[in-house]
Amino acid sequence: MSFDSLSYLLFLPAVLLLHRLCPPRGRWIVLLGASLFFYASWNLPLTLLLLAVIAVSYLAGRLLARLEKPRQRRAVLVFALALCLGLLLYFKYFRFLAGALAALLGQSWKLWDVIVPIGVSFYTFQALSYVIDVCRDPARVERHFGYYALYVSFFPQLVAGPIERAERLLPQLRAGAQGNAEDLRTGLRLLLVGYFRKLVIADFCGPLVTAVYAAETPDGSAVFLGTLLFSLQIYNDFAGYSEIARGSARLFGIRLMRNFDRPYLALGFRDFWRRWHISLSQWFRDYLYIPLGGSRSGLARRLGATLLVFALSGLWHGANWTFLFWGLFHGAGLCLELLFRRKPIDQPWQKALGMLLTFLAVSFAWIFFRASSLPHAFALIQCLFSRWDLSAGLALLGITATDGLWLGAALLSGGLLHRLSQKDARPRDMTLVWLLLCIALAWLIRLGQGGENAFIYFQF
Amino acid sequence: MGLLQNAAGPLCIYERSDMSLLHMPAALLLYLAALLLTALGAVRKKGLALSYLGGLCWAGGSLLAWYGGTPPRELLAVALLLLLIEGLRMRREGGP
Repeated sequence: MSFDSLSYLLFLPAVLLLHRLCPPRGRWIVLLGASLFFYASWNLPLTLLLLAVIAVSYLAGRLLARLEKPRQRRAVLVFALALCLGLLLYFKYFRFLAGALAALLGQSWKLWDVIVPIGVSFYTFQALSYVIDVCRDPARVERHFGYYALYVSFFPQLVAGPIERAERLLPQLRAGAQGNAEDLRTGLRLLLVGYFRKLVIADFCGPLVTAVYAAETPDGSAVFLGTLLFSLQIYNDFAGYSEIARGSARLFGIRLMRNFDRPYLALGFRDFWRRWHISLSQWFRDYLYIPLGGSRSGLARRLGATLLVFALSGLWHGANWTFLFWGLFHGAGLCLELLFRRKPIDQPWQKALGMLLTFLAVSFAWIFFRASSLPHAFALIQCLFSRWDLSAGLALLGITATDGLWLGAALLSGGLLHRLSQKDARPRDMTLVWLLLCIALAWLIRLGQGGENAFIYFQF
Repeated sequence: MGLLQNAAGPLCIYERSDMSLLHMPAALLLYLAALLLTALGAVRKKGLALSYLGGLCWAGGSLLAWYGGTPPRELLAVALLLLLIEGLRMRREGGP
């Protein structure tokens, strides 16, 4: 059940109604039942994997809270991490790692297919953050299994984040609050913004990007425009998902963290990662970068830790060399900033130039993210730096004047969407009416094209 | 206006729809009225009624355009423009 399917639009009000009818003490049961149903609607047997991760991390948390000897605690932590990460490695990376090993040994192995469970990277990381937090501070343990299971499986953020921390989400789930009128208004507003981003902007860019990335030897201008469109698509697709997740949770009176903050206005790679997929960046910072030494260690160690964190962050997105390269590209960018950027940027023209250069560098890196393989990515880069024929590029993309108008409006709407997703936004009725009308029309266009466009981050 | 050739045949980069808005004066006129009223509504202090009127003009124009066979993509492009103009009100009224 995807957020942009009709079944979700029926599921969400039904759960909200049940939640409102239920007394506060039993609300977690409604939400847990709905979350498991939501996940089981993708794949029933793989719900067992989700339950296994919940059970392992819950038991590890209880044990960590009870044990006092550091050696025993460390053993429990290592065991829980190994089990959860082992499941993640098997389901997501088995074919990739075995294939790489076979290539290294010059062998050809017949490997069986493994279905990658949807959202496995997200809920495993959320469970791991809880176990590590309890190991650091046993007072953070959650003794109620139901609340804990709901924390890992809460349906708005189960499949593609934000990766919430227990200290933020668990108290809200325990309180069993129901959304007040303000929560309902804000939730609906966030839902509208999210659906607008997905249906009106991301789904519009999708076919244009595919036309370029599926072509054998596209023109340099087509690669350039297609990659810029992919930057627009992936941002609005993922930020749209996050806003729908926040909006859905807010209807129940639960506040999820903001996952994006206008990332394409970033000044440099460091700033970009403060604004892009914030929950994942913070996870890697708190549970990997800082334990590796963080900003207080020497320069060489910082550089090494940065590269390692970004290599793993790239691989987190998928079992493919392209993601590893994408992560390393960002890691290298950050290392260069660490080495050479000394003075803060003050002048407005410097800021504008810095933003433009960062956007172009980040967009360039998206080529690795979007390409099907490393040779494909390098071939596209070769095309990018060879012949440029704008008319041929536009013909490949098939952009009309209407599309141009649409794209311009989509770009300009970024500021409006950002304002609407702020907590104290006060939109007048007509803004929301226009948003709703645009979403309805985009939905009609999608129906006319006869297909669904899955959220890009669902595959991770 | 240049004609380009691709695998699918001749392709005009400016318009390729069945029945463009540009060929429907009545719908176009209603849309222009919608743009004007929404813009006026957005810049005036108590212009919400004008914005609503703009919305009605858009609805009328869309009905005509739809009946005339204009693809929904063009209707959406106009709705997007109106959304942006309406968004000016939020900026003027001091959003976050």
